[in-house]
Amino acid sequence: MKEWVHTAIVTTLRVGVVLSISIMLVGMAVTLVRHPEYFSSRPALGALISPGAHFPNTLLDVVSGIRHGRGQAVVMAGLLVLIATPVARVALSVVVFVKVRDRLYTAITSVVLLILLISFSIGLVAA
Amino acid sequence: MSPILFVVIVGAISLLAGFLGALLGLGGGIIIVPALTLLLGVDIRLAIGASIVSVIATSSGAAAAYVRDRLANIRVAMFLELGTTAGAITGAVLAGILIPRFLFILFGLIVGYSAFAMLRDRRRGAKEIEVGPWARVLDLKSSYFDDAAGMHVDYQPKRARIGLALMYFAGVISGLLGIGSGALKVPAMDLAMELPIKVSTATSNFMIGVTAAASAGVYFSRGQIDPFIAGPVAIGVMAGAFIGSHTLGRISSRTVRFIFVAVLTVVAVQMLFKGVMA
Repeated sequence: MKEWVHTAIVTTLRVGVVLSISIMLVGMAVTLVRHPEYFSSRPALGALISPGAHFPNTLLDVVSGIRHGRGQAVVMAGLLVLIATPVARVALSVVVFVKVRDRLYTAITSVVLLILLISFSIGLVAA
Repeated sequence: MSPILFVVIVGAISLLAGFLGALLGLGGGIIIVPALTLLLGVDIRLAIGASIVSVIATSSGAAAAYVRDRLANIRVAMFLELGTTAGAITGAVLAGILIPRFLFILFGLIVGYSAFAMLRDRRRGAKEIEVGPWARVLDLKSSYFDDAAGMHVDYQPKRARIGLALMYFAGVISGLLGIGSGALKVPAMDLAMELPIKVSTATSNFMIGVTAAASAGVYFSRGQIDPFIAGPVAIGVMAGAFIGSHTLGRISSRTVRFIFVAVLTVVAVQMLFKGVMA
């Protein structure tokens, strides 16, 4: 029974990692195909890493960027998958502990998930 | 520097940061932020956004192996996450009120003290502490196979309540200063709960992703996560963390402790410097 808890967590983490890396690599490839100048141009870098750099910072931006075939929006989608992975891991732990009828740890992981969701909403409001 | 060269260099540095972070239960921010800002001229706000991503990447990249090998104690982690996440919210709320400068000095002093305290290996059996009611009810006892020592190590975590309180404090510090604070989590597990050092770093590694994910949303909305920087950081760090997670078991506990104390000393100096110069 305990074995199952570990397997479920390991699987969630692996899926999250592989998925996010794959999406980011696709995004990087798209970026390089669309911007061949990135292989040689020096001034191009400044616009990418300076305070004025333009990139998506809402879910809508990411979605519309992907629709327009922008590589950096795809990379961002991969980063969002990465960020969501630990949260998914906690959410899945709740389900697993419910299934194995471990009440104490169901309660503990539920509270952690609740706190996580609260901090997410506070963060989005505050920003 | 051309953009492609930038990506390659960032990826290489991140590989190292992920490797070290996975071994020590830290997020890798202590390497990523100075490397990006001082070496590559990245804006500090964007460097901090990338370092939050690096914390999650370190955690996720290494945790699968640590959970599989039982180096990370998931019960200890889930119990202590109550403290770190609650603390992180408190810290975020307090952030506008407290003065960061003094926090950096306070944090530097605490980390410096932890480094000193951890330098001395616990004298085993010197003063046997009873397993408290919390540690027993929470069923924290576990074991792992130590490849370096070639034997099974059984251990019983102690002082669960003190551990939880310290994690709350560590969470407040991460919320306030925007850092992963593995530098506080590992000493708390090592000194208070008396976990084996490898279990402490692997369990810290498992937990830091959750704390960082909680605040990553804010950094994303504020436009601090630049995919051109954070993308190669994430990939490099995950690859490095994966390698690190397959290395930890094979190096001796003494070595892990020694490297940890050395890195902790660097963190302490960095923090004190920030506090004094701010």
